[in-house]
Amino acid sequence: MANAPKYTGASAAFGTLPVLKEERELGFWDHTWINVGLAVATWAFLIGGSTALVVGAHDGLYAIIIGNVISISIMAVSVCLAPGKYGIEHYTILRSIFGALGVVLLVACLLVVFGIGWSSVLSIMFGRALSTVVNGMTGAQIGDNDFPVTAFAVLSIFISWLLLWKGPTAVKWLNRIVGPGKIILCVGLIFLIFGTKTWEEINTAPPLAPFADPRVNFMIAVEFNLAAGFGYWPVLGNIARFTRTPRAALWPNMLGVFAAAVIGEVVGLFAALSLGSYDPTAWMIPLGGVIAGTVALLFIGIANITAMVSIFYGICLAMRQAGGKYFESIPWGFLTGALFVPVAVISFFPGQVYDNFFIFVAWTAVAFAPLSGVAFVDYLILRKGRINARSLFCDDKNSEYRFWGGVNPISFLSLIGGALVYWALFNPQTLDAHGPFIWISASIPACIVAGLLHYVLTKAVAIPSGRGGYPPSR
Amino acid sequence: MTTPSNSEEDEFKRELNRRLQIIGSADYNDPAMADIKTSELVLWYVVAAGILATALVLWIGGQ
Repeated sequence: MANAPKYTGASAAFGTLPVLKEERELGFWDHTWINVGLAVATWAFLIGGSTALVVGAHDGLYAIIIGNVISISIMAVSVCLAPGKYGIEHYTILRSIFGALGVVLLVACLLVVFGIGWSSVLSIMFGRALSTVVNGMTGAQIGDNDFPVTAFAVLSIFISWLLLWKGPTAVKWLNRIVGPGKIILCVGLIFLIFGTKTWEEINTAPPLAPFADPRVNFMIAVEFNLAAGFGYWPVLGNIARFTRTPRAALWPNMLGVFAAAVIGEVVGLFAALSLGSYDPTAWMIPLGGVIAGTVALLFIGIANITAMVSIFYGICLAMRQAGGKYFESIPWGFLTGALFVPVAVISFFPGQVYDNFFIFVAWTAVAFAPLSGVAFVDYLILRKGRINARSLFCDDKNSEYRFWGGVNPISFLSLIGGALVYWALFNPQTLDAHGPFIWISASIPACIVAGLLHYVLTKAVAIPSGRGGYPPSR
Repeated sequence: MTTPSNSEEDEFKRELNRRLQIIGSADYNDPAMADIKTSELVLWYVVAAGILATALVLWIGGQ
């Protein structure tokens, strides 16, 4: 066929082209298992372990459920419905909120930084897991922050890059195996924990490093888990893009992200309280012995790789969208490889990154809680679930989504407003709580204020001036 | 950074246009493009609120 189109379904999957019906690969359970693979990544264990820093088993269990159900129920609706409906890449759709140039700013300032941060944590954990395996099998004494940890981290980055090169189909098949396997790992860990400790011992184990006020401790634990839930914002949209129905786009987030994340985090909480360490790589051999512990650590390493691939798949699509025709022309393998370079560099500082994980998680909420509020209000309330697909790809001044010079300052002001509210209630760097934080957290008000600001400013400024292609106010 | 040649760019635009025409066509029948039902969204938040309320009750009750 001399005139066969060059842009196939595979090209749409790797790039910014809208996917067509026959290219939508994910049914309800495929999407669910991908989300399970994402949520029971070992960051769930680490978040559960971080929760154990401030609260015990009883408070921690409910902080995990409360934080995740609130954040995931808001974030999933804000991020999955539009890409699922239009089959259009998530960051292209965000042009309708931030403008074409605004999305470039968003990707450059937020998503790349957070994606690299998350992947660095996962790669370092991979490095520590494999170092622990080597220590257990050979009697070596590799320390938590020694060079072999970095070397193994770089190995995980290389494997992730190879998998990413194969695209979402490789991730789909890998997660069909790894997703259920991680649930088995969680169940196995629960058995091992309760095989060595009684519920009474776990329930009465003190938190690892609490603050003086128990109310502050509980809300910080909720806040960690709100942050963890909102932290899925950058990656879920581009997975939902391939779903076959609205139901398949939405509900797997409750089954695959919420339920799986809660299970993983509760296991992490109990293990951290039982063993007195928040680091999952320090639990497996003491719990399971050398053989079972080694198998568990190796499996954790594989799980981290699937998570890194999912994160970077979303970011690479965002880069292509943000960079327009220039990034579109860069070979996929080169683009993905270039993004892994800073992760590899950061892996040379394992202690500074990994041991401050809980601070990093708190920072993610400063960005993603307001983003969830703005995206929710813009798509569902202001646009009533309608986007002009053609205008998303139109860069000229006739585009509905040009706003002011390609940027929608209203959405950015709303994000800043939400972030300031967060900061006023809770300092993510020092974990100092202020005012009504102990009653309302920081992420929830930040999300609500950002959404409200976006609604009011859009109604007051954007719609009257005919910017943004919003339906006219009645 | 490489810059796409005009022919590549034209081909991309043609393919993009083809896909946008398909998606925008009244005859195009993709179940994914149906609006999510309001009842589905209500159920989503009822389930979420139920989980939240149960967790709060059990947390307070267990203190």
